[in-house]
Amino acid sequence: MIISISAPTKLESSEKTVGASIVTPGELITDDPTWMRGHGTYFLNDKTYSSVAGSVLKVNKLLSVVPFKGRYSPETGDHLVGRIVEVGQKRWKVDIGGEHDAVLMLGSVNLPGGILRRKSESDELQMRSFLKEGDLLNAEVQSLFSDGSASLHTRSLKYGKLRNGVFVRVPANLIVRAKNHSHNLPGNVSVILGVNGYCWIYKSSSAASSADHSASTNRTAAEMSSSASGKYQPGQGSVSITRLEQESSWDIYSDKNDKLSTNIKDTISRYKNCLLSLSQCNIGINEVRLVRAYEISLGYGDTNILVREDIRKSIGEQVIFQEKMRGTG
Amino acid sequence: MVLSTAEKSYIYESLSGENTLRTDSRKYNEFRPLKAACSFVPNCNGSSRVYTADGIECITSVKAKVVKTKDLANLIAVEVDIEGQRDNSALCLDLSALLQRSLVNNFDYEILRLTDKYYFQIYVDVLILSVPGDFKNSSYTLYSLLSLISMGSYLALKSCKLPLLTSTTNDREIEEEPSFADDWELATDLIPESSEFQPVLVFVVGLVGSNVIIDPSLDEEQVLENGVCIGYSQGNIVPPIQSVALSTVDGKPFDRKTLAKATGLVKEIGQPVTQALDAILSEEVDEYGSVF
Repeated sequence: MIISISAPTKLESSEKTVGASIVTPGELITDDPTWMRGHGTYFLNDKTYSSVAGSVLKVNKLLSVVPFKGRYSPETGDHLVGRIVEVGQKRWKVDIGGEHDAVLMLGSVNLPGGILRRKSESDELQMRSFLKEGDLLNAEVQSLFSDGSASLHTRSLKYGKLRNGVFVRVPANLIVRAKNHSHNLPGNVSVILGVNGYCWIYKSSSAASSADHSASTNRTAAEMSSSASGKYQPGQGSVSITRLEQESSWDIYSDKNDKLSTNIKDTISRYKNCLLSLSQCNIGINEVRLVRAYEISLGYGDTNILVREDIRKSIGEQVIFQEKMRGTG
Repeated sequence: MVLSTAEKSYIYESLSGENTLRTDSRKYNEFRPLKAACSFVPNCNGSSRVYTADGIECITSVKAKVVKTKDLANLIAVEVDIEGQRDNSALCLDLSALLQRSLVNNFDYEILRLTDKYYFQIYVDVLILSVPGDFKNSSYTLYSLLSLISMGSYLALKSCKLPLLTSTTNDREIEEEPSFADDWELATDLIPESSEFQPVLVFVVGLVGSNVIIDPSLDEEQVLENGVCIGYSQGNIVPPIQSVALSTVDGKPFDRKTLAKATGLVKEIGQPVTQALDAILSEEVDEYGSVF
């Protein structure tokens, strides 16, 4: 199909009675002045009104409105994907889809040369050679400033510059918060579902999958050898500092993609379309659903067909249906 | 939005490779899904609304006026307005001029003629709503809107209705001003069904390596080596055929073979696109009727 032009879908007037807990901006929530007013509300003449469209949340005496939509507001510990927009004095400005750009200090990144290295003036001068405008990275929110903007850090081997994949943006409120936001998916593809709705789908690095493996095999090997020889060497079985040093060499700031086969690229774009299908159907996104959407999409055959809106919709419906059938919905 | 080096090389290598893989898994000759409706502005002769899934929206209106003129080239006036851009910005002026020229060059003036002295003058006003928010610090340009705009003007012109002419047309030398019926029920189409004429459609084709892609997305624009816009009308390639800057990054020259590939692509997709647009024309507009 070369082009699909469809008429705008008619808005369906739903017959369902909407619960009273959904409010629109300017709507009176209560005229009882004893409530404490939280986010998304304002107070006028002893009456509390909603300032956003959303659902009312009451915790004890605190009344707030949780908006349906809106920009992402960072919280400490969130795993994000961001894009560098500015290189400044000892810091980078990072677009995270929030109200403010986040800050990434030069001191909160891993510099080439390992952890024992101190940052020097020459590092300040060559900040652009680490990260420059447009670069994508994944990071964690370290702390929040009083105005709600975030300070990030990438001081872990799982954070850093992103390569070998494509960027997908979905609404931040669709990402379901979880313990872990980077997942290895079937098809030798990995995904980072940033809490801010920025996602990165990329080829699983062979090192990453074998690293998990080798860490465990190391340990068992260490246990075996220690039990066998009775000797224990310090650092055995844990991630050695030397590996950290190896991995935090200049490679972590490389711009070069690995060799990617047509197959991998096809799988990546299939996952991209699956993410967009879930987003189009307003379904909360987590690893399980993404994998299900992927499995369903395989049934449609060629990746190319997933461009169609009706196919995306039916993928979303099937994901929900499967969850209902399995009783996990 | 500026892409990172790794993203750029990923997209570039996919596009320029042997079988033109696009990251959104479209084929090289496939458009992004569009939504369209027409005849929804009550005080215009013809109107249309075309929008993409990512929210870029193009509203076009056509108004007609009776003028006494001999100068046929001035009978079509096009103005493009883009939200957030000054109306004398280079982008707005270029798009207006390009569309105006392509319409003027490929128009059937017979349908605008009332008598030898009186003609309809057509005003085509295009409004682009909701331009991507990060447009200002990005390395793509919005010249790719050209294809959306031309589809909008195609639909608006095709849905344009004019009041029924009641004065005589037998004596075309006559001085008398033309007069029209009051009843809008009797209105006639600007482009009668019997007419072969189709307003020109302008397509934006991206060139990358020796490959060509239709309707490049904003991500793709940033890695393209060049872009050309190609006009299509009634099964033929018509002017304009010119290169458009799709990104602020310097392009690369392209050879005649690639250009021939691009015109071939437009020739191939022109027919299905016209059909899809014509299907929209026959649909009833009911989007707001069910709400109010």
